[in-house]
Amino acid sequence: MSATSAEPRDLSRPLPIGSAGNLTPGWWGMVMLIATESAVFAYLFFSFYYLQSMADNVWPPSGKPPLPYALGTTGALFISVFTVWFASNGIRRGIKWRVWVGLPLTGLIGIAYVLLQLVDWSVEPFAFNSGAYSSLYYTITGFHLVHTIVGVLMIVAILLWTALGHVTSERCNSVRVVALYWYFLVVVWIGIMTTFYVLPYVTPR
Amino acid sequence: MKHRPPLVRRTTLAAIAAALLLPGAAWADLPMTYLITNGAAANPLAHLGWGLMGLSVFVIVFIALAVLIGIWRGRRSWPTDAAGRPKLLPGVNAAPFVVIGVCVSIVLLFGSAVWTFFTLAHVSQPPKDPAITLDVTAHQWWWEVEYKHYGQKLRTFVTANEIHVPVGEPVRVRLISPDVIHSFWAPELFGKMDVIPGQTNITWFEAAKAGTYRGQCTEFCGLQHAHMAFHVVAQPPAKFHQWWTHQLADAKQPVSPAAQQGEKVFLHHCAVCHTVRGAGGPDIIAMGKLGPDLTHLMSRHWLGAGTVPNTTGYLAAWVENAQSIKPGIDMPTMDLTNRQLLDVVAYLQTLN
Amino acid sequence: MAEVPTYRTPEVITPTRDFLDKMEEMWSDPPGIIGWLSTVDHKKIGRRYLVTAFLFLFVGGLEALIMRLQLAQPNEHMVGPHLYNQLFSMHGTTMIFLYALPILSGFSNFLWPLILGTRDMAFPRLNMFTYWTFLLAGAFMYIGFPTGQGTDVGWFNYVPLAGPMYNPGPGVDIFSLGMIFLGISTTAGAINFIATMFRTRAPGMSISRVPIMIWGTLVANIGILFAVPAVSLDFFLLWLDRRFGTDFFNVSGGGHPLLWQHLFWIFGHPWVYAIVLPAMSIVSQCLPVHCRRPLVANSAVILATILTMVLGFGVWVHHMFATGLPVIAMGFFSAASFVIVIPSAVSVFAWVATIWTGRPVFTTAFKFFAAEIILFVIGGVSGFMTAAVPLDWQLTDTYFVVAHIHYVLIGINVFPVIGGIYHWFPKFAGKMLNEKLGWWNFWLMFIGFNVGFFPMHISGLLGMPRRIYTYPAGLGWGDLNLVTTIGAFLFALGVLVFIVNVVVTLLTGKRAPANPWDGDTLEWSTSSPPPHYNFGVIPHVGSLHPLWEDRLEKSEGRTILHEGLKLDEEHEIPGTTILDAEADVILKMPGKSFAPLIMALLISGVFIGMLLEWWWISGAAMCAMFPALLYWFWPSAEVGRSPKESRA
Repeated sequence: MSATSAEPRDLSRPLPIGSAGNLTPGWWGMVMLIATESAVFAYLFFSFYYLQSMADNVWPPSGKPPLPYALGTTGALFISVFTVWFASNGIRRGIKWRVWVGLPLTGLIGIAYVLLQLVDWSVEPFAFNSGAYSSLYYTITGFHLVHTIVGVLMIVAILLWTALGHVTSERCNSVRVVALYWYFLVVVWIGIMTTFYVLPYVTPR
Repeated sequence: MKHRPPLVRRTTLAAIAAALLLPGAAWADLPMTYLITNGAAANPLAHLGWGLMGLSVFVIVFIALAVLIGIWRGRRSWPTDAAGRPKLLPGVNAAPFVVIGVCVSIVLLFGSAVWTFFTLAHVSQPPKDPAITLDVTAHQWWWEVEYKHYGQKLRTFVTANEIHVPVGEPVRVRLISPDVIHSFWAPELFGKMDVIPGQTNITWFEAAKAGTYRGQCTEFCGLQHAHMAFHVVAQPPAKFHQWWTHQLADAKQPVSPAAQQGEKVFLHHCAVCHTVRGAGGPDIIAMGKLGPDLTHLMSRHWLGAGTVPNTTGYLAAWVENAQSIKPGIDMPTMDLTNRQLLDVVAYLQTLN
Repeated sequence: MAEVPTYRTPEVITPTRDFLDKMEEMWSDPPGIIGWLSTVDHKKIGRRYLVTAFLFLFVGGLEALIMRLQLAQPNEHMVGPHLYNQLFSMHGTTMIFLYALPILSGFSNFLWPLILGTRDMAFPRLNMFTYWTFLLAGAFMYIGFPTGQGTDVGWFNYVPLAGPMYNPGPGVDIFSLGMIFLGISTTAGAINFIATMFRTRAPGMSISRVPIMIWGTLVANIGILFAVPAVSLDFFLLWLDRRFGTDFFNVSGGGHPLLWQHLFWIFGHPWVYAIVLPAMSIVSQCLPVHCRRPLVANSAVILATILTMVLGFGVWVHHMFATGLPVIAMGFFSAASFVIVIPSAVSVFAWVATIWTGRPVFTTAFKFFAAEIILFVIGGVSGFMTAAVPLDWQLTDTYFVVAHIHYVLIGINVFPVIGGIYHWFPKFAGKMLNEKLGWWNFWLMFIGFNVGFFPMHISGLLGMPRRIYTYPAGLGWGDLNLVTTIGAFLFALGVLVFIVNVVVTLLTGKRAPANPWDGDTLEWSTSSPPPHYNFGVIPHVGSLHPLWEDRLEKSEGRTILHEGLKLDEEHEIPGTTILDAEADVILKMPGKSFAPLIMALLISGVFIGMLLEWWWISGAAMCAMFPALLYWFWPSAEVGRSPKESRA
């Protein structure tokens, strides 16, 4: 740490204006939003495992969940990690067309995920209020669904601003920040996938 | 620490406590204190309580004195600056003071923790396998008590709000809630155990000497949480056995004409919710489960879970309009004529 | 990178009168209602927080006084159980959620940028948003009470009593939705404080030169970030149970009532630290000023603060010792609860050592801070007693715990807050509070508090359960409760004297000098009250005690206040690096905006729709949020262009 006393003349050096650099206020805001949202999901998973540990019957009560839709949504989200990285990495290197490819693709995958998830909901044999397991299932996947819709809306906003010329290689933080949020969505999905679809198949219960 | 402290120590403790806390008040008038206890499940808690309280008072006095002396030391005239304030004191290193204070605190905390764990281990199991098992069901806002085991005997009966136990015998209590969370507590005999729907908690206690001990629900459970008391009556084993045998018996048939009339009224107005074993005939019986079992109502000293004493006047008032005494309970205001009321009270008073 | 237009080299200047006048005009709000509704000035927001939180304290206090009248004697009938249960529920809710944290947010919002040597918080509009949401959520939580529909199940709202079966009325719905609503405000505020700390400190204020008050609030807000989601979720799940028949807490559907308690206390215990650590750091910051020396063991106290919060996430089960948990689990949480005493001891000994080795000046503020030490110890040792599992089986849910929570919340929150207001009133309002009234204020509050609340320990030890609306005679509780009631009214009188002092001072008090207490931190280098722009030029910080450097024996460096970076192109502040606080960017701060108010109103719409089950209102409000947020985050055309371009 260079914590020696600096003469004021040293301070007078060229400084970027606005949201330059990596650790912008927007980046801080998003990191903390993700931190607190992660806590929300962590507590949701805590609720799931707590109620499972207290349950008299086998979970899931309605048998092992169908996999096809979940595999579809998982695949879609994994692909979207690449597309969103493609956009944010591109704009940092000044390649603007990569935003125009990566972000719309990510948004479309997001919409596809939402639709697939809604189909999955419609084929589940249980309803929102037919027991603790189903309450948790719909609440946790529903929370993730809402977060994904928010992510898609963010992408729409960024595309709008890119079209209006507000996003350049020097001012690309909005893209980076949205990418960060999107990675968070995928990480949460891995938790959901593991909890609801993988563990019932691998645990002997 | 298996036995209760010797009499001298108990009296001394009581005297000190009375002098410190409540000049002039006798401990006999404090039925809900847990500083002077009467049972194997509560005595170690009281010792721990006195110990940690003593330590706490010492810490408070020590720090308060340190602050006051510090202030008193500060009252001298310091060299002042232009504004008349004491001049700024450049760093005097006082960190060692903090280090010593924290080290002493750690030692005291460690000792307290060890004592706590020993106490926890000591009271988590009864000294011997309990001969009696009770199912206590906490309702909004009264206690249903079902006697399950007594020694080898497996005969059961149900009573309410008054628990009789033999002196010197550990008693196991299974706690059941059909509605909301309550907490089961008689401070002179045992610490709290919550009564939680969906989970049967088990606790135990043992009364060291005969007497009546007051208990109360301590987890907020709704409108009449304040009126959800119970009493534990500890009796010498022989007397307890007598009581137990009596409780097993059905109610006697009423003799006086008024009581006989009263039984009819009871069967038509009250039996939907209340049980009186042996009442009624082949076409109608009193087996209601919503309210307390009244088979031996007159053997109990209180009405409405410790709300009012079981006297003729209160009993009549309770039957007529319990809502005026304990608003919000399930028992409705009974639409009885004066005659019916007198008869039903006469009947109830035969249920000894 | 050589993109010249996005860079600027700010001059180093000594501000002139004309320059300051220009800055004042640039940073001030337009007059009238427009300016009032659209301001993002952290000082105005801070003052609004202080005033609003005090109003809630006043309301919560009145509720308490009614309860005290009811409990003054056995078998009283002044209020029935229905009203009493609402009174204690609203009292707890108001004090813990609508007073205790918001009052500290008031201090922090006002003081942080001044102490950190900058001109605003990292997110000025978010700052205004947190106030509007706090105000609206507070109003929301009170809509049921005047019509007898307030929540009546206590502030920790245990299920199933709070569930659909046993409490169908709207009171618990209002409480649940209100808590989620308020959680948005609290979380947004936490994000703002953390970003401010790590991004906008004055150049030179390296991590080791950050004053302790900042640390206390920072640590509390990091805790909030991870704790509040637990309670928001808990209330959301309860609302689903109540409105959609889900089974999270419903035993017959496979749920469990203890899930509520786990989630609630995972939040609840860190929350206690969130509302005392900033207040403790007020003492750590101000007590030394009145003792005329730096705080003893400053770094140790900071570390203790951090450790308290970390451990605070691992002790929640000590609120559940009577729920029938395994002995091993209880032993673990009991041990953790003992360990958490240690960092508190660090603070206490540091304060005592500061008084002993200092030269105390007996101001009203000093009295409040010194009293806090004693009250903190009383509240601390009673907490230590409840950490012992078997003893807690006796103590829990009696008045002993009521005494404990009041020694903690009044002793460690209200006393430092009142002391802090005496200390910083010159900054808040530009006047000095009257010290004679301050004497009455302090002694009435101190004596009233102890007369009122100390006997609660004894009524607890004599077995009086909490949350009972009446009690029979003959249990030895009557006299103690009478004393408590008398004390409570004395205490209330003390608070009244404080309010009188504030009002009288605002009307007639004398103007305060810039640094009346000879404080050491940067807020005292501004005028009283500070100008809209806070600092004409941004200071360059050289040590932990910028204003005491010439008088301390050893000072690592020299702070430069009279000249500094000229940042005057609209609202500008320097952004600095995390550890060394070297300026690495000129941040363009937003000015007045209606976006925060619009967003807060839209969120209110969502919650009102949810409460009334008028889903179309909620849906419409949610849809409207997208354009509202677009408007909020719309990139400024200024940013990213050179000053010349933007002028042209």
